[in-house]
Amino acid sequence: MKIRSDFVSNSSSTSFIIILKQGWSVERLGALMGVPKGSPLWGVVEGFFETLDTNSSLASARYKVESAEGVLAGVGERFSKEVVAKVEEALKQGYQVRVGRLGSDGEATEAFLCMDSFELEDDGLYINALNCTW
Amino acid sequence: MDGVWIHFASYAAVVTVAPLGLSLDDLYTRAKVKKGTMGAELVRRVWYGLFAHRIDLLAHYERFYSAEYKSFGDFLYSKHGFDDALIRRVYELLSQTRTLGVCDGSLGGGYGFIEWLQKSDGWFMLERLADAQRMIEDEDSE
Repeated sequence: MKIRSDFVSNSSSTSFIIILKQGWSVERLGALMGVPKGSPLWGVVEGFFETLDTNSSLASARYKVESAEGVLAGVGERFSKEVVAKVEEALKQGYQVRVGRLGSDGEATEAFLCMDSFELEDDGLYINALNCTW
Repeated sequence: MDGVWIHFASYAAVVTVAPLGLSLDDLYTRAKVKKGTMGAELVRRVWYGLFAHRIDLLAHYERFYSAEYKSFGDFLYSKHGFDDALIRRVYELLSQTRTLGVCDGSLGGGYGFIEWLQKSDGWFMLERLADAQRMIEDEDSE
């Protein structure tokens, strides 16, 4: 039996993916979340947008690849076959694909999103954070 | 007393005083969110986690803990970790209302939900959703 001493972290991180059909903005995220400007929840939308934006980047840059095959391989390592198929179709259409990671020991919004599992989609935007589950 | 008083005594414990009398539909309307969306889901979690699942703490003490703890204040201190200032505040509020509710903040919210409410954007959401006559206090800011 091994006994580990010193500080032991129970933190975790989870992956999410964003497919952008019409651009990425706080207004787009608000529409997807069903929260209009002027809602008491608008600050929540802004916080979520900032967190998802700063913790994600273009899939090609994230995986350091240039081809669609490289992106699909990277996505395939972290997401389900259904998500890979969605990304494949998105790349064919010329849509942007962003991928990111969230840490449970990050600031409160990041930690909450890291531990919360959700999937959102409308005509312009798709977010898959189903890997974010505890 | 009207309104809502919320105190985050710890990452998982939330106290509300005074009946809210606000239905989930009322809260959806106040939040201006579209039903069936993630925004509505966040509102639902607030409602279930903080209001629907709360218990009347004073009644709870009288029924289950009065033999074990000599006073309600002792119960709040020993069982729930309230400090002296908070206990005084609770008594002050109880002089105005009989209802003192407490709920386990993890109910219905999921991991990290109460911490998020307390420390980040969720706090402002809660503040704005609460009644205009509310009193909301954050332990960290005192």
